[in-house]
Formats: sequence, C-alpha cells, structure tokens
Amino acid sequence: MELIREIIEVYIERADWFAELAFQHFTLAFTAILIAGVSGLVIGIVIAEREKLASVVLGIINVFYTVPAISLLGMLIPFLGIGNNTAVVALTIYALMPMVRNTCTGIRAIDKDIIEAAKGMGSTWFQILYKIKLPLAMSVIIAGLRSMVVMTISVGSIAAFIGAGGLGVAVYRGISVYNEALTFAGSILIAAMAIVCDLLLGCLEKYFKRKRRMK
Amino acid sequence: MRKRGWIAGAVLVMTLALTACGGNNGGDAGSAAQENGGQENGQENREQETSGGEDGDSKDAAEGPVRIATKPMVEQYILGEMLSELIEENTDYEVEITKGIQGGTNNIHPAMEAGEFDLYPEYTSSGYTMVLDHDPAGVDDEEMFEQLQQEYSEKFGMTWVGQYGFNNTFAVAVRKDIAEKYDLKTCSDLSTVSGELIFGGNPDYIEREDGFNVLCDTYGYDFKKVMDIDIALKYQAMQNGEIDVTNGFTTDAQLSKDDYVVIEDDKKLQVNYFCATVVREDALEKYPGLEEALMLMENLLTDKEMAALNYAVEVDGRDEADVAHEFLVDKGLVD
Repeated sequence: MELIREIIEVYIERADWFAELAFQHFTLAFTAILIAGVSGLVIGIVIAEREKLASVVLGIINVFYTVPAISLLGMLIPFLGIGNNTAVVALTIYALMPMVRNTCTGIRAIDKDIIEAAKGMGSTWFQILYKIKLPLAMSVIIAGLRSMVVMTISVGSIAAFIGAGGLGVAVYRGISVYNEALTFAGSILIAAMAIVCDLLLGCLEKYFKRKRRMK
Repeated sequence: MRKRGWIAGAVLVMTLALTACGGNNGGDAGSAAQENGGQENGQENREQETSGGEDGDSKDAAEGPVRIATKPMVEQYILGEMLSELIEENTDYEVEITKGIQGGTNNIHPAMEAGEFDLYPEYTSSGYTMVLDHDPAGVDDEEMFEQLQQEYSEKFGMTWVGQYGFNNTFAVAVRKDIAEKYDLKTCSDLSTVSGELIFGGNPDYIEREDGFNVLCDTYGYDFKKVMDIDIALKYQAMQNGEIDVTNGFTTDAQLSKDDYVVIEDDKKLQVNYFCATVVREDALEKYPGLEEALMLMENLLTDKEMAALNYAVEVDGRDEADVAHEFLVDKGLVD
C-alpha cells in the first residue's frame, strides 16, 4: 500500500518529466515499429515466394532476434555511436522477426488454388498481392504486428542505457538509487502504453476479420 | 534404453551438485563442512588467534569464502582484485568477488547488512551521506572517518579499515574544444553558457540528492538538455560530441587524457571521497588475520596511481586482475 502511495506521489510530483519520457519512449518505439513494420512486410512478401531465399533471410533475422537486447546495443555503439539512432536501429532489428515471419507464413498459408484462379483470370502480380494475398494474410500479419508492437515498447526501455531517453530512464534511475517507486512508476507506464497499443491493434484485427466475413 | 539410463544418471549427478552448492551458499555449517573437507580445517586452526573453542573454530573456518562486493565501475573491480589477492596471499581463506552490483552503495549496503557480503570498497562521503544520512559539508576528513567507524559499528555491526590513500571526488569535466571556446576554467565560468550545452551524466548522479540538482542550484546551471547515460559510455558520448559536459571523478581514466578539461569547483561544493574497506565485524572475528590483510591497503594509492590503473583496464583493455597483481608486485606486497 505504501508503495502504491509513493508511486502516485511520484507521478504527481514529476508529471511533466514522465510526460516527456513517455513522449520520447513513444517516438522511439513508434519509429522502430514503422520502419520494421514496412520493411518487414516487404521482406515477408518477397521471401514468401522464394523458398531458398526465405530460409536464408529468416535464418539471419533469427540470429539477430536471439542476441540479448543489451548486447545488441553494445555491438551497435562502435558503428552508430550513442543515442537515438542506435536505439532505433536496435529496436528495429528486434521488431523485424515477428513481422517478417508472420507475413511470410500468412501468405504461404493461402490456398494455392485461389492464386491460380486469379492468375487464370489475368490478374497482375500486384493485383494478386493487393486484392488476394494481403487481405487473406492480414489477420496473421496483424497478429505478428501486435506482438511486435508490445515487444518493441517494452524492449524500448533499454534505450535509456545509451542516452536515448524514454521511460527506461525512470526505471534505470530507480534501480540506480534504490527507489522502487520510481522503477515501478516507469514500468507501469511502459506496460500501459504496450497494453493500449495492443488493444487498438486488436480492434484493427477485428475490423479486418469482420470485413473479410462480410465479403 | 541404455542411453536413457545414462541421461538419467547425468541429471541425478547435476541435481546432487546443485543441492550441495545450495547448502554451502545457505551458510549451513553442517553441509558446508562436508564440502570443504578436513584439510581446510587444519589450516584454519593454525590461523586462529582468538580464544574460541576448537570445535567452533573448525565450524567457522568451513563457512566458505570471504565474500567481496564491488560497485559497477572499473576502479572497484581493480580494488576488489587487490583485496582478494592480499587476502589470499596473507591468509588461507578463499575469496569470492561479486563484481559490479548495480546501484552501488544503495544495493550493496542492504546486502552487507543482510550478511550476503563480508566487505567492499567504499568512499567516505558516500557512506556518510547515503548510509548514515549526515551532511558531509565542512566535516574534517579524519573526524568523518572516525564517525563512520563508530556509527557503522553501532548501527550495522560493520567498520571501516585501511584508507587506500586516494580521493575519488566529483569533478565536472568539459570537452576540450568547448572549454577553449568559452574559456572555461571554473564551475562558475560554466554558469553563463550552460544554456547552450548538453549535460550527460550517469542516472544515479542525476537522481541522487547530493548530485546533479545540487550542482545546478549552486552554480545556477540550466543546460539545454540533460541526458541519462551509462557511466561506462559517458566519455565515448563526449568524444562523439553527443554531450558537452559530464560529471566525472578525479580518478577517471579518461580524465588523465588531454581531450577533457576538469573545471575547478570554485565554490567548494564537492566533498572528499577517500576510499577504504567497509567490513562486517563478525567477518573480522570469523576470519582472523583478515584485518591485517586489509590494512595492507593503507595509503597504497594516490589519485594519479588509481587513475593510471583505471586507464590500463578501461582504455588499454587489460585484465583487472593482472593490473592489480602487477601493482601489488611493484609495491612489494606480493611476489
């Protein structure tokens, strides 16, 4: 109970500071999500049709995905220095995996006959992609996007380690000076941000499912 | 079938090993004594100087290694290695170092109180403010040390022994080109230009009561931006031009280089941080001869020597154990 009171006090006392950190956090995570979302989608579409390339690309992305977040930062610093760029790159590398894999899996799961039929009717590559593949794979892709967004927002807390700011600053400072309220306050906001984003994407997912059914 | 049996055997062995370790860590005298065997006990008994009973001695001697904690900074890793080597060289005890406890004093002190560690290198004013909650301003160095010894003993059953000699106090460091551009010599000089500069500091300095806020209040700083950055990355960020001003320490390896300028604390805000060993009193009783070994550190290092050792590890990338060993050899304390 004491802790909850302290957390609320910290929020009130440093409202501006937390707002600033939350904004930094959101900007960092959103930038990475945007880059990884778009590039992951493109990579996923490209490799879905090419079996050999897919195993190579997925293998490489998988390796990056298994590197612990903090060591990934450490490895990027000699090349990119310290600060926002490094943090965004690290978060993007992490976020790629779920995006690429789900896009690839979603497209591959489509019944080959449907695509053959579309081809038979004279659809172009782009028409097949836009009208058939993406709509049919959309729920799997959005599932990937959801887990990617949640993960990016929570992993984003390590950006504080290299001076890129974000809510991780509150967590890291809390750990540094043994101030649990500060650590909790930061963590709760990170979790809340992740949950809200997940819920919003959940609505999007439902919308796509309903749209598909109505067709 | 046979293969499965082999795996089961391996699992069993591992489980037993883990159980044994668990018993030892828990400080359970019975199982720990079994682990260490009789040979250790013989050695320990020779060392005993107190008048405790023979049974008690052998039980104590089997309680496991002397446990050293260090803060997450190279200087402390080197000091930890020195303490470890001096203890191993001058007594028959084993030593276990846990390096780099995040949060430093804030997390090590509670662990010391809980008996998880026996000793760690600490700085006088850190203990005075963060642990004892006193105001160090204007307190005589000797007086402070005596007060630390007394109050640690009364409140926590710990004491301070053997000041190492160097004073690792706060310093404000500015990148050389900035210092030249604005002609910065003292902290007061920085006041007028702070609005154009980026300050980057380690999170605990920015957050702690006697840290960044006090510095800003004293000198009227209002930096353009304040960045939290890990202590190990600060100077790299400084070199890359990502930060202009940082909080440093007098024994920082990098500060011995020409790339940075330490500006004078002309308002005498910073207090002295002489380094010494904080040790649990029950550990001194449990390990006779330990105190004598710790006292070998007394007046062993100057600020400059410490900075040079830090440089050897941080910049030259040498192993801290080797650096510590060579220094002790130079000083004629070990062979």
